[in-house]
Amino acid sequence: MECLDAGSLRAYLDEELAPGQRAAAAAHLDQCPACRQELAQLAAQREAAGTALAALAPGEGEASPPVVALRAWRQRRAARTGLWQRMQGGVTAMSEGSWWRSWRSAAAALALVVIVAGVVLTPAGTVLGDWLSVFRAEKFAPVTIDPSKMDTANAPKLDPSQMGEFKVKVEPQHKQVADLGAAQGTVDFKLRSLKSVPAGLAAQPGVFTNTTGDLTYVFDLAKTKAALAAQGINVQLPADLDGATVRVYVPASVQLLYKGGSGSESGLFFYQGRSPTLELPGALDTPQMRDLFFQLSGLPPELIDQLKAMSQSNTTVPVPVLKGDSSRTVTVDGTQGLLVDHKPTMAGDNAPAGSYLVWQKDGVVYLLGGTVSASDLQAAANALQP
Amino acid sequence: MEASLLLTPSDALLLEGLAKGDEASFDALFLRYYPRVYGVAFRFLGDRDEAEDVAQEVFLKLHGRHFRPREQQLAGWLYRVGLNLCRNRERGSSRRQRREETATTEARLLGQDLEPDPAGEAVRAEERALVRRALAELPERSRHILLLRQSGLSYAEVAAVMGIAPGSVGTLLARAEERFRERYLALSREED
Repeated sequence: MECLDAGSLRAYLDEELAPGQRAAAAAHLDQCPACRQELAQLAAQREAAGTALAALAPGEGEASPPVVALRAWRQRRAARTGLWQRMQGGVTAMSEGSWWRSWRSAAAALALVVIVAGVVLTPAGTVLGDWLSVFRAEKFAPVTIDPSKMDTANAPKLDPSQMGEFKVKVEPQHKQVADLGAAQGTVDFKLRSLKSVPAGLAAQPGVFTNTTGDLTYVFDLAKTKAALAAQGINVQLPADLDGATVRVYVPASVQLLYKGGSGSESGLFFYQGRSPTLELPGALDTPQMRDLFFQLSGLPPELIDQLKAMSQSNTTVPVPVLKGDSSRTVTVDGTQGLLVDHKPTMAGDNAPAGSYLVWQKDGVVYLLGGTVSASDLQAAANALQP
Repeated sequence: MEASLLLTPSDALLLEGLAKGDEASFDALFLRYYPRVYGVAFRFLGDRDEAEDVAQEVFLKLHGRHFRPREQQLAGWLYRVGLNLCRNRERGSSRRQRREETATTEARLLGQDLEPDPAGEAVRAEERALVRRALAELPERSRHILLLRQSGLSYAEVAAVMGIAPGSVGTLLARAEERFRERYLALSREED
């Protein structure tokens, strides 16, 4: 047998050779002084490095008992779920691996903020007829979200189901289709795709369609009064709140997914769809009702202040930006868009580094985002086809 | 011994339970693997808060995954996710280094006042800082293999986490130890 290389000898020391190899190595070592010498040298080296490196192990009092850690984990998850539920709005759940799940929050946020913004921001002045406000996404402005604050104030005081009833008129269907051509027939605008895909991602995207969703929420005055009283909240509610109906209409949309190689956490998604709209009856569109919604939302005060301070517009969508991320207005696709640069620096943030960009053109809302740098993303967004 | 083995559900069984939404299965996996994942993160980051944060995030990912790792891959998957989170933090963070340096200086200055074992704490902080400086001078792969191995991972687990062939672990490890020892001795001499 030939002499053993350093790697085999090192594995021999750790008893990591397969049984057959181990026996052969032992037999060779028996009769080879040179290999025995090298083995001794490797053993001394292992000993020296191991002793020094052992200093890095957690010492006494430097690790929580697993049971304590599990309790902390449950709290963290509960807090995260609270944030997630808010962030997820009406967006279809997709199971495309963890990067998408992280980034989905951006798409979800869009749908959510349309709803939140519509409910809480729509000013009384911009009513359609004299009884209905319509909210539609045209422009985007950042609002800062601090997940740690969300954690502490995570529970909404009232569940919507305690104040009325959701009715799904048309349930959106989500499915994968063969290609862009197959998806084109599901929407009334021309679908677009990336001309050049950032390095490391599949050139051909997965294509997903979401059909139209139509949801209404009908207030029940008696139910709402009882639920508020149970919370110790005493407010004057207008009589015409009873039966007041909020309608959320989410037109058909298409999502393209450019994925990294298998096991990779990287990817890019491209959402395109006409703006969701929210119709709000006049009874709900009053400053008093807005204050009440804020009070019940469980949102942290800083966020409420930001939302209140936003322009009295029913076409500007507040885009949630995690604290620590940066956002700026950029020119994209020949119009103005909002670019958010995400760096996972905050504790409790499990989205990978990346960026996303949201803009509106010719009545279509585009959301492009993923695990690529802001400059790569802008380049991709400025070279769409057609 | 045998009875406890029989009573201990396998990873596969627990993963199956988790897929069905059984929280007790998740808890069992957490209790089984958390200390190991935390151990790796602590060695990488040298900071209790950050290491706990990373370990907690790893399990959030496990809990939320739709496509779960298979049994044989579970440990490797957990470590790999943990390692990636650690690397993200390592890059941006000089906080730890500053803290350790401060700790070292404080330990030197305050020597007697530190509890519960002032001399021991001071020595350990200095020793850790020295080991980290030596590691910082190694290529990333060498640094990773030393820390993973020191955390008690088998060759197969190290290979899975680092994406290398199991057969090359010995070679990389021998080279990393040699380099580390050399840098460590050189830095020790500078200190003296």
